[in-house]
Amino acid sequence: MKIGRNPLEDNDFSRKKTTLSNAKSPLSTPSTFFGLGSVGVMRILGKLSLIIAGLLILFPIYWTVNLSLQTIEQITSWNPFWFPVTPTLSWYQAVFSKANIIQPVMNTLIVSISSTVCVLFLSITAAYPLARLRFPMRGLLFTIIISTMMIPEQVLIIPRYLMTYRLGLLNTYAGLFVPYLGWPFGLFLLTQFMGRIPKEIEESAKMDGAGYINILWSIIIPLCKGPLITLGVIEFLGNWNFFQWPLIVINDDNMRTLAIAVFFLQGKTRGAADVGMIFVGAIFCILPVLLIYLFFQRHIVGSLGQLQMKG
Amino acid sequence: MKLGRLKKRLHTQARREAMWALVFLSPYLIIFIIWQIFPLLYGLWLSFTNLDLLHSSDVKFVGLSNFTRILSDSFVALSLKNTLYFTAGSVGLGIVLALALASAMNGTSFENRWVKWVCFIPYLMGASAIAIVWKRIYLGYSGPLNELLMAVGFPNIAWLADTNSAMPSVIIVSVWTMLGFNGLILLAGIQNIPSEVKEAAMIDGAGPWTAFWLITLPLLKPILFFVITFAFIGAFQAFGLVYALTTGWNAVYGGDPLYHTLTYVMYLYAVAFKNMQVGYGAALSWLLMAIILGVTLIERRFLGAEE
Repeated sequence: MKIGRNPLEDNDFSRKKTTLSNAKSPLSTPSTFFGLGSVGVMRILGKLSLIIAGLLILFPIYWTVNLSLQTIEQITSWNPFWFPVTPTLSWYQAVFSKANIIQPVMNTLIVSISSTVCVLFLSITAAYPLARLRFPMRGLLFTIIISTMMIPEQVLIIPRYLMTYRLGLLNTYAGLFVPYLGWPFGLFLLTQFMGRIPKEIEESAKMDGAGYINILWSIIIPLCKGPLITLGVIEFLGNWNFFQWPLIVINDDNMRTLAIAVFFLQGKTRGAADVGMIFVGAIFCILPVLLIYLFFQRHIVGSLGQLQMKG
Repeated sequence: MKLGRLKKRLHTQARREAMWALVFLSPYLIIFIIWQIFPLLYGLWLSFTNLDLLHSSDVKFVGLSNFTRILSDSFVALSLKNTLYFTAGSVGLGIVLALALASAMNGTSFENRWVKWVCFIPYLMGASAIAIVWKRIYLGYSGPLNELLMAVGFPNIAWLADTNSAMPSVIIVSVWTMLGFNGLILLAGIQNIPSEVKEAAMIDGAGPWTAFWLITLPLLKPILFFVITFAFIGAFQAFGLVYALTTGWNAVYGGDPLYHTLTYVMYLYAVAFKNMQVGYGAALSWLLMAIILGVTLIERRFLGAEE
């Protein structure tokens, strides 16, 4: 519609014809580059530059793996080694023996899994009535809940910290994820999806006298498998990578999550001979994320469409 | 008579449905009120108090004095300036590159799918891992970036330690992390444009460049608006990435070198959680909220006016 105003749209046939031939003229220019036309050369250059762009994006990850396999002399040498000449796994042993990385990994797993389970439960139970049951002020309630997604997280951090502190939840697993359970993204995602399921699907079950819990459990949830996986993956990854909140509520070494433990590992190894451990730590942070991306790529990238609706 | 009974039955059924809705909703609503609504109001109240956990735990209402203090706080001005620099750089460069990337990976060939797969990975990585990697890449002398640049005759630059290059270096890392996210959303927008529209323009003699400016970009406006708003909100609240890149594990304010990369939220963090001046910190956070909401509304007027 907007192109209607555009001078490009011209119904005069003769003009169209001339411009068409003009546009074609560069294509017919002969070229002798390995027998390929100039367009062919451009196409190959385009392909190559995209492949190289992808490799450049991955370079930092390659560099971490590269450094994690080098000896201390190679890592700290004046000229960097572009690939591990004499690969060694000593840093991988060191993070277990010297840095006890198992503890933060377990902490992060416990928090990420608990948080994901809670968010799934809360989002399902809240999205079902908001999408499919009738009750007074439903629209208003939904609007109020969703509008809090506009609040910048930073505004809530200070009061949430004081509440966590007063409830005695500093340095606990609950303190790491419970304050973030109110974030309505999951509810929003599921309400959108559940609202699109046709009403007839649950009518017959209702006729048979099935209760609401039964309908939700055996009809609605199986239909929402896709968005539930999406939500679960997003929630898990979010907690796995969480930086600011764990930095604030944890000061006990044994309660640190992986991201924070690895951050502080840099301080411990500063100037010391253990510098290679931080690269292994970074790999521990990245590896699960990569695995999840490999398995759930469709769900993660597919969720971008949902984010779009939010805006 | 019969109708009356039916009405009554429907009425009790509606009540039953509403009751069940409340049962289903209550777990979330309890959490929502405690951790989403209450903190909002509590934070607003705190911003009018002098609560300072390091010195005493009693709270006194001090009116607007926290907000007047903001006006004379030179760190606020400094960190806001840094944040604007960071936001302009990472949103500007980020959107331009994401648009180029989205146009380049529009297709189903091997290299399109390769870039589409790869570009999203940095977005999924956590701040502390990203910082560890990029600190090494930026390292003076023994870093790979300097090694390459010095090989072609550039002088050695301590990217993150030099006052001039620190912020641009941080911006590049931020662009790297957001490229895939923005690129894939813009790609979805580009693919939503009917191909006939573009073909018609091509037949009319428009080159790919003209077609991009006159067809793709205007039709992309709503999605562009979304991406820019989202990028702005994210960049203005930058904390984890910048903090992990530029702040030593034992620093007080951070934002090395010499506060050149101290963002607004990093200052807020230092005030509230290092100096423990919770009341003042809350006031700073409400100023942030006002700025973000204000700019979002202005942006919506300018960019999203037609939709």
